[in-house]
Amino acid sequence: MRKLILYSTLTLTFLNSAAYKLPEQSLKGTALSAANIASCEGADCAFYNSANIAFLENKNFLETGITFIHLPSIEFKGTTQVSSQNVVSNAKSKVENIAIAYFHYVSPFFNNLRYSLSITTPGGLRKRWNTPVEQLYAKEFELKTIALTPSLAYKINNNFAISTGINIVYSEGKVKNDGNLLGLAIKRNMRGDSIDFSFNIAASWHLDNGLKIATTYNSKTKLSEEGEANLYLGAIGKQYKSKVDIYLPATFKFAIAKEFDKINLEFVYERTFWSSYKELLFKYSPTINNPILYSAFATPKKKLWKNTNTFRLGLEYKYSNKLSLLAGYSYDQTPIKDEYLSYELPDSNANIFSAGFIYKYSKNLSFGVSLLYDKKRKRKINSSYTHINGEFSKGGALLITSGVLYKF
Amino acid sequence: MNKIVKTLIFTLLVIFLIGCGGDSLEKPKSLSLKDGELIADFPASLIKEDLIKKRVIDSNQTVFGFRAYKIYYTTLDDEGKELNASGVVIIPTSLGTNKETNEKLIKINSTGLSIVLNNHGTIFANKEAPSVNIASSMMPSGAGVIYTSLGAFITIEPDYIGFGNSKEHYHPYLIKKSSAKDNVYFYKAALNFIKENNLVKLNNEFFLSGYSQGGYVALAALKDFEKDGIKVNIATPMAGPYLLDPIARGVLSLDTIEAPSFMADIVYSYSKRYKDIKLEDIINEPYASKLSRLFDSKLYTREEIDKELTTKVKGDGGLFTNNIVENYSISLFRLRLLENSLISYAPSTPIKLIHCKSDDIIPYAISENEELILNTLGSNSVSLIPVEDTLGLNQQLGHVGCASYAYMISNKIFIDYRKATIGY
Repeated sequence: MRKLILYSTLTLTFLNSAAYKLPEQSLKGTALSAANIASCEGADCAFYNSANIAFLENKNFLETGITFIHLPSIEFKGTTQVSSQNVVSNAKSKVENIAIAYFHYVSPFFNNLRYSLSITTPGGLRKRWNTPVEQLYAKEFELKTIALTPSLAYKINNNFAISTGINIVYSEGKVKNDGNLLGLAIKRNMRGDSIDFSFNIAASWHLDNGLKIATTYNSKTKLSEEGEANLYLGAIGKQYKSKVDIYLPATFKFAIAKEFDKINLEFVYERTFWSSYKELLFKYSPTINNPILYSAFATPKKKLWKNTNTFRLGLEYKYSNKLSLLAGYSYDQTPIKDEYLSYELPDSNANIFSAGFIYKYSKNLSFGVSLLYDKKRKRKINSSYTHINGEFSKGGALLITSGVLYKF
Repeated sequence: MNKIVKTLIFTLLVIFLIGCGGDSLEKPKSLSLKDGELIADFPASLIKEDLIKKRVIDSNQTVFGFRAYKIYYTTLDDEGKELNASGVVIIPTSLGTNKETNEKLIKINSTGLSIVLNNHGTIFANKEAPSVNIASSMMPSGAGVIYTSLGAFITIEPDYIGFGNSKEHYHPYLIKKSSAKDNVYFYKAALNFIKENNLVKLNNEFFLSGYSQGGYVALAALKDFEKDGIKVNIATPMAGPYLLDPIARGVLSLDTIEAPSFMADIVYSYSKRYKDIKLEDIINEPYASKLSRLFDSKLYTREEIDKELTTKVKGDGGLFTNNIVENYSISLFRLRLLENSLISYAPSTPIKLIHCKSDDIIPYAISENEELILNTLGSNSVSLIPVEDTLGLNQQLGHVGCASYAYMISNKIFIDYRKATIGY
């Protein structure tokens, strides 16, 4: 078993934006609802658009901070068919309070080249339920990620730059299911981890009229979680080697930004290619001989997610030489179809509102705080596949990011 | 200020770089007891769902959970050598039951449970042995479901010599002495296991059963149980090859047989047990040379073994030599078969022989004749129960298809007896 020590107990996981991606990875990223692509102008360009680092002044840039995430309960009222019987649920998922850290760095120029480095948490999810039916599906369902992203940017001319980078993603998955409260006496306790790679490319145009245009592409990262699974039937437990593939999807972003006097406005269109996530299949070695455990834990679960659109709007107002005020809004589609929605990830379309400030403490040092509220829509489903019939409501997320920006 | 920023960055990097990650899951602990271990713990709800689907029971029937332990014990082979052997002890539980069933089990437990020693039918692969099969699949087996989950009995099943923990030893197939003695050793070990580990309260009632080879073993073991002073309340041997001579004679008179593995196993087993039985005198090549691999490896199922043999009984390319076909009646093989037939002891235990009239492997006439022989020898409580007539079935049941029906009859006999004596 790999014993890679990379991840902190503080850098836990969550469900915030659609499904399990997390685009808020800096002070501005949170404050602008991640509408920080074309006009990013600090160390966080290393994450949002590394081509833009070619337009920063010739210094070292650093940003680091912590985001506290509060995830309220998701509520479910309805029925779920288990073993041919409709079981009534009035369930609430556990409240989660999590802190994650981030770090960004941008180097000075080496001729027309410049490099950057980010350590971020680009995705993750955590859902825990206490109620009988929900525990069978997701007593605990957790994905943690940490990505190391070194990138290299090249300034072609004063208006145009390109960049490329690799994403080295360490991930850890944990799944717990428990049917004991339903009298089914089956249980799974599984964990796995993985190191996987993907790439990113970006291009930025800074036109003479002040218009900034950028486009970025992040390739899909296939997270192949390998580890062990303990499967229990009654009091008997057996350990298997296990493997499951999860995807951090490919994303394409197009952003356009313009400065109007003291105001900078940015619009981002984001396409997320979730459709590569077709099924959730846990594989075991040796093969599970027990048909009950096999049927519960080793048969493929259809996902058939759809590609999604996200629209982001960010506004920065330079109130004074010292203080900038920021606000943002996003509309984020869920990739999960009604038919395949389940308790491990009861996601829905979301309206995201954000705000924040950055205070310039000295010539080189700034700090700030930002807030983001993710409001999930209610979702009524009646699925002939998952046999879940009812309404998911509440949930969402509240993020508070506190960061320090430094250049030297 | 530079220093503060550097300290902050360092702190955050430390947060990133330390902590969890990569630790393996601890293996589930095996639940070991004295001379045994828990190998299955199956909830009643899943057994009930399955039985309702198969229309074996209706939804009102009480079903208990199934908890199986593998037990280890010492037995003796035919040469008197000690062997490590194994079997299973299955007890009813309240896992996955409703409140009413749970309360019923509490009452039963306070009164005490009866034991059914079930002897399984012929197997060839070690994976088919009760303790191996249950441990691997974590699933209940047929007889255990009927006697334990439906009947609320403790079911105990030996793997037999040659399977489970004694798999390195040849299997003494249809050899009376070791089959019978092993049953007694196993019973004593199971009783001891239950008592020493305080599993459940017993009521001292003991029933003996078995199907096919198991029916033979059960009836053979009665003599040893009685001689050992162990009271068997009722025995229900089912579809057993009690009379080996007419069975062999019947096979040799045929041109083809559907399942050559059974007779080949008898010949192989007898050739290992008796020095005067030579495999090559009875089985033709190339089949004789294959038998050691097919039977001793304990890797092959009946279907796989049948494929390696021939369904042709005699003549060129037949399974049996011309010598045995022509001289069977005066052969040593016949004498050994007679020696191992159940024709010389009259048990005093009440015996219900259960058999399907349409059995295609062990003819019903074997049980008819066995009933006659036992009564002639002096047994005073032997009867024969034809399965189809008793259950009012119109269909023809073969040897395999008959088993579950025969077990249901046996279970009812034991339940009725227990109700009359213990009260539940």
